[in-house]
Amino acid sequence: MNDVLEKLLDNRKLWRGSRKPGLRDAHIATGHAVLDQFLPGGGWPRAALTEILIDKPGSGELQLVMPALARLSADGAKDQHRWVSWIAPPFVPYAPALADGGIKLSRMLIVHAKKGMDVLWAAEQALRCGTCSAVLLWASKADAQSLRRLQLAAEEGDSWGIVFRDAAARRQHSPAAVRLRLLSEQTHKTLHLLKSRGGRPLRIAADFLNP
Amino acid sequence: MSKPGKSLALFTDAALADAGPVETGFVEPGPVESGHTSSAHTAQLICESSAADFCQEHLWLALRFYDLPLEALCHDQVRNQTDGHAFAVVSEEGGRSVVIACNQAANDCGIQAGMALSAAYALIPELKLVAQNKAQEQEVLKRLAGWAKKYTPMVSLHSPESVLLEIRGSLALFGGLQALLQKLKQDIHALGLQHYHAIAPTPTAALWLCRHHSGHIAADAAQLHTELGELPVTCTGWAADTLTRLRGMGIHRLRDCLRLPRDGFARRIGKQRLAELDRALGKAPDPRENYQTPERYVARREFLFALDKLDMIFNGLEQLLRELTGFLCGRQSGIQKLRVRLYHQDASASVVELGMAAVCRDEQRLASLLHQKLEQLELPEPVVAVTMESGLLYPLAGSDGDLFDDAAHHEVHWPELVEKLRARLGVRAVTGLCLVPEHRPEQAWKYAEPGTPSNAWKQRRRPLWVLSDPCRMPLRQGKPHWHGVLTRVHGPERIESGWWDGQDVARDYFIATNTQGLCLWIYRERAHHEWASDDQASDAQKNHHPSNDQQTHYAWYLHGMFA
Repeated sequence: MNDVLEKLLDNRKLWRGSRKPGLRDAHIATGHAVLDQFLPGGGWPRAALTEILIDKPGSGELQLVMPALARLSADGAKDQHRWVSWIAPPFVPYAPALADGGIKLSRMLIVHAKKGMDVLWAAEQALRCGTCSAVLLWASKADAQSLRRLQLAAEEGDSWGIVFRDAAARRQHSPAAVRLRLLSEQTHKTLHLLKSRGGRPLRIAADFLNP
Repeated sequence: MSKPGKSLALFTDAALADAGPVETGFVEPGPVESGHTSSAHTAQLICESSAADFCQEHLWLALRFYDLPLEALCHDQVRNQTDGHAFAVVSEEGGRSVVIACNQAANDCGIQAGMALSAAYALIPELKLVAQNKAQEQEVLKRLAGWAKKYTPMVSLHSPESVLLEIRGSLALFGGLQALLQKLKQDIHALGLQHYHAIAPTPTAALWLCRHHSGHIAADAAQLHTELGELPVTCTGWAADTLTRLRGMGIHRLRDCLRLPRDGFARRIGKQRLAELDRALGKAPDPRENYQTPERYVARREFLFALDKLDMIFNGLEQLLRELTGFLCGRQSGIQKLRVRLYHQDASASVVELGMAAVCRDEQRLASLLHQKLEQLELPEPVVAVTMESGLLYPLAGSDGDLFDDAAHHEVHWPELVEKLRARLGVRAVTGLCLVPEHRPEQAWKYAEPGTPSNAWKQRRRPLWVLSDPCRMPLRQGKPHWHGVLTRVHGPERIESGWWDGQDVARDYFIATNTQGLCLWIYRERAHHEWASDDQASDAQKNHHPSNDQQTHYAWYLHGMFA
């Protein structure tokens, strides 16, 4: 009996009353077909936080979000006039590679904040103001309470917030709509979908991320 | 002689039952009985002048800032706080000191404007006195005239305390007279000022009505006659002896005045006064000088008491910001720079400078930026005065507030985010990115002002992350090592360029993966340029240097990561 119910609930064709009525464009396609399939709504949730946990910077975390960022800033897209903010990136986002990935450089904002408080403050401003379609921030020290603020700010500003954190934070509670951990090993990469609003935790082989 | 007759006509006409005994001036010897009806027909009365009517074209709004002596000295929060201290502004009038304005605390104890200083002291012995600063009042009045330009291009100053606005042309823009008045009242309240207002087709009448009390509205000639007629003659602001003479004639209201014959009035009261009445009634042109706003906004505000609470200082500055935005609106301009100085008793002034990413005249935006800057400021001492100076004015058209133009909305509002972030983190902490057509990886991009466009040009595969300073990699058995053994994926790509500017590079780039699955962008520094190594080799040959005989290890660097 339970199995039957589970199957039914897992079936995305079933509309569940407890979930917020999904707007047609409440999600951004990730650009990775496998990932779209497993994320509820078929993409990254707009107007919410996505938390990406990584062991080491450089394990492929940017490739994960690049196609969606490119889609946001593409000519003719609804959000083409909005900005993408990078707050406290650990390295220099390399402009030639970004341009090659289809990102509109003239709509990029890099915020060099050093103090943890400043990073969170700047992220909140960028998320809330509504002029940014996406805000990427590197905040390992953020606690659940400040993430909650960011989540609310993202909802208010209809902005996609992407928080990159150290994998050590996976045991902490987080209000993010999607949480995933990117595991990088010598030959293959794996995504652990730790939490997704309206979905289930699962593991996905992330071979679509180029070595 | 017809003149006495006329004066008699005047007398009999206006010598109204309650006027009582007639005093000097108008009583002249003459035949009292000689036909007063006939001369009344010949004498033209002031109100009946058939001259041109100047009532049609304009509508004047007079604003009288009756508490200006007090308001010029300190802003409302200061005068209402001050821990219940009563204080009054005094001025010398005819050799005696008179209270001309006082704060609420003094008013509560019975002190009123016009009271002699001795009487005020009798009520409150510890009353604090402040001398009137007429120059500053005029400065404030001028700034108010500049601010009022946001309602109409025609604003005229009327010293010492009034401003005249011609609003006929602005009614449509603001949605009618009532809507305009409503907005004006709110705005003046937000400036922390008290005011009376009156509206009339002629500026003189508007001023007179405004002196009486607030809210007179005379929209056309007929209403003007009624409203003016009700006014006491004291509202004209004429000299005291003129007023005494009129009172002596039993004339208390302008209505009575208007029923006097013109030439008799001119002879006895003065041609000037007659001309004034004509102007008030719109029978004569009443040109006013249009106030010319200065090229920049400069304002100074004193605080009476040294302030150390940030919110009180900010409150005073906020009102100046409101004046500034009104001024800018009138000039159809915006600013990119604003400087605020906070003066202290001894220490040198603290300066706050705002720089906006785009031309701006949004009060909210300026206020939030200023607030942020002030919060970061460490004040060495309490603040006694502030000044605010705008930078150059740039043309900035108003917006027509399109509801659906999303793109334009983001176009207009993104500088706000940049400014806000810069105000806290510093100007250099917020940048954009742009491409540079250059082969050297370090020079192929740069930080630029947000929004700088770049021309994409095709390059080979490049990593998404680069290190701002390439990191020297450790070697194991002559091979580079980075958290495990490296495996080559692609390479080499030789980049050799820049000999002309001293930042030349000579590198072989490789893409490699390590045991943790990181994909790295590394390079081998080619020891030296050809000619340099030739030189060295020849040197080594000369000196028989042993180390150069061996194959030297290349230096390997980590430059980026394919994240």
